[in-house]
Amino acid sequence: MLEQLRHQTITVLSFSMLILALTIVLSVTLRQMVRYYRIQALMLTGVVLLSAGEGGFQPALAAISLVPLLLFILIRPLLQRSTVRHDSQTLRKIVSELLIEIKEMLPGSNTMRPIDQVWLQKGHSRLRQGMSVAVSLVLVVTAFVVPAHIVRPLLSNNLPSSSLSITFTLLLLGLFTMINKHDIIAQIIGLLVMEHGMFLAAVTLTTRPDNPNSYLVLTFVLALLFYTAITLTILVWLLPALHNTSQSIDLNDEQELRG
Amino acid sequence: MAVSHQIRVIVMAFAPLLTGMLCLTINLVALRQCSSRAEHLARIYQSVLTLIASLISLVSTLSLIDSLLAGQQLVFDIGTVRVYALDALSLSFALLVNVVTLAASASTGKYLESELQAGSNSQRDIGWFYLLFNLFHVTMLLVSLVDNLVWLWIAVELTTYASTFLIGYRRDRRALEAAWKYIIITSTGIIFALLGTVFLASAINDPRLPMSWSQLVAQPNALDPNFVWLSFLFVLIGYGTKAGIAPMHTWLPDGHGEAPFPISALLSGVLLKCAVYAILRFYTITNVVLGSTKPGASQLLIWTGLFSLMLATPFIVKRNRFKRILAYHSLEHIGIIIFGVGIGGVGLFGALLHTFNHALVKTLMFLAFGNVQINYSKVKPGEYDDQYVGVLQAMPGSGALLAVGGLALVGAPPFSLFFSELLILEAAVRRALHEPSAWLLFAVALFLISVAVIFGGLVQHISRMLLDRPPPDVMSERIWQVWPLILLALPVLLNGLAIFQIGEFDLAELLLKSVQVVQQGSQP
Repeated sequence: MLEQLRHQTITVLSFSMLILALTIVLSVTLRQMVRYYRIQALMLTGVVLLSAGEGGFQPALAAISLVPLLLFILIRPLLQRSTVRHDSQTLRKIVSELLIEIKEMLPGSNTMRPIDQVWLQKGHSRLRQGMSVAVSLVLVVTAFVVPAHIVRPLLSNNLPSSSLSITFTLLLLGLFTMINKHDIIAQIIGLLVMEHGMFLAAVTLTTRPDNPNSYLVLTFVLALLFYTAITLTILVWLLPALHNTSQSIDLNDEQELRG
Repeated sequence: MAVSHQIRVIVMAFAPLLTGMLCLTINLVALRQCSSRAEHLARIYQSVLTLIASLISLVSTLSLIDSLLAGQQLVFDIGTVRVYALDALSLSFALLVNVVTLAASASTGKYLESELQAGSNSQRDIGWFYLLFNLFHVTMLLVSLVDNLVWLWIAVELTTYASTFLIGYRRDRRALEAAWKYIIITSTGIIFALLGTVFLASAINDPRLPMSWSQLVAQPNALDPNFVWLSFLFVLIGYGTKAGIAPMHTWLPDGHGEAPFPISALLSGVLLKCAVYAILRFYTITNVVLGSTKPGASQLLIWTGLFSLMLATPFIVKRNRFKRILAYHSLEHIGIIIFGVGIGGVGLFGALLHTFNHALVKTLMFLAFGNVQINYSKVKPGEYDDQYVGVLQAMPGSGALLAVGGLALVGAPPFSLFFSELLILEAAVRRALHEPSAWLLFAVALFLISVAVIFGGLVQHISRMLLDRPPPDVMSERIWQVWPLILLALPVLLNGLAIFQIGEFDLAELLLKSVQVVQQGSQP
């Protein structure tokens, strides 16, 4: 019964991630996108932790749940930092600024700084809201229908096929976000949503009860860690540097290279 | 006394890694001394050490190739974990990485010195450059060495990491925009590659079977064919993005165009080929498991390659900055390579040879053009690199090398690329007549038309650059700028006349064995 409850909770959390991905796509401001992304990261943490209990506790998988949790904590201060001009980028300064920003996130701390009100209002889409909704729904249906025909015959009864459909949905919606939004931060959020889809796929497929291969799990955990390192590189180095040189997070201002 | 292959592999992989860390340490020590003489000496040591590390790595690779061709098994297991299982394919790509890196490392000193004099970088930046350069070298070697397919993905991801910093090295707006596009597009693509790898893991019916390539191809019955096919599709998209296959190639012109020229040589010469190597590994598994029941894999590669070739054509013809044109040539030649892999047989051999030939020619072009950029640095820049005129008169050595490289790049005889393209074309025509297949004949016709148009395009660009009167303020050419590139140009010519063989080392034999590795289970 406990096993059934665990599977059901994973399914509910996975579907909630899908709904949040839709709200991210349809968000008007970056503030909303970041908020929904953070909630999605928390849900992913839950999914990974619960999956770690599949077929006996897997510490490596439980440890990887720290990654979405880390992004939940760091995403807002890192994005915030990247839109403020920095004259020097020493490690000590980066860490102290991040700690200040994390403290400001705690309940009871100072209200939003004036700079937040500027960058968090961006987040507009290339397509109109109605069209964005229509495209998103088409993508969701595609992600459920196509894999169901291809993947369901391939899967054993023990494998939740809905998880794979949700994975494809997150990938497609994340990709659509990257294409549809005007600004760089929204592009990053889209990439992070795709990363969540990847997490879900790797966790689902490597914790099959009929395929308990702990070395395989460990190597996929390492792969996801390296991928997160790429994401952090973008957030810690590239995005602030780009903003410093171009003074903008709008993609239309990053069209110097053409042809 | 024979050195064990484990030690040679360690030397090959760790020489550049240790050198990178040593270069950074030397730089930090020099900076502390606050002396321009100390910094100058540090730059010399760093340049020489990087060159030596590349040479050591190359010698180790040649030694391993020698052992492999002599029949030695190069497999290393720790318990049940296979650390590596080197075959002809992995060593041929490792050889490619080392040759190109050696050539590029010979130019890094000149590049960094010119940037320093122009005030575009500092001594501190130079230390980081050498560290990243050597890390980039190591990560590309890892791609060809690892046997586990998840580690293969990790190694490819690590190349993204190192190369992003190198592309954005100048930290001006254009370089950062290029680094941005590169990391976003390749990171998006690499997710699909990981998903493909996950699908392959799901295809394994035996839980004791690891994700070891060598063990998977030995037990094709343990793999679910449908999941393998699904895996191949995702991997083609994922690693195809990294390889610069159309339509996922959009990072190519920006990345190659804005990177420092030694890095552009590495990106175009070997990084793309590392991604092709990953595709080849999955393609082999697909062939072994699905065999002749699913010819779709080879057809998919043929049309993907052709699409890349055709898409590159208009961009090569139109007026553009020269490094961007060279980047589109990479798109063209990757397309030709993938086309050849899809054709199979002699076409596959031609594709593997083309991989080598293209790497050498492209490296020659980028490094020769780098010389031009350095010597023309005082000339007022134009919109489409219009300031680079009269190169043959102002810099006869580099100009001649650009002319040779340009002709080689468009597949003119008697150069190496002509020979490998001819092999691919001949194999395609034979297959089209043998099957028979109208669509394949149509594909060959499109191939020929694209190549012909590209010929005209690059000849036009090169002649505009080489001819006419040079502007004033061009610095005179030095012999040390040219002689390393002459060594690079020799195989470009010689490989067109006969496939490279020196002493015990026979490139043709190595490539033939590589073909056997890839063609396991498929039609010869």
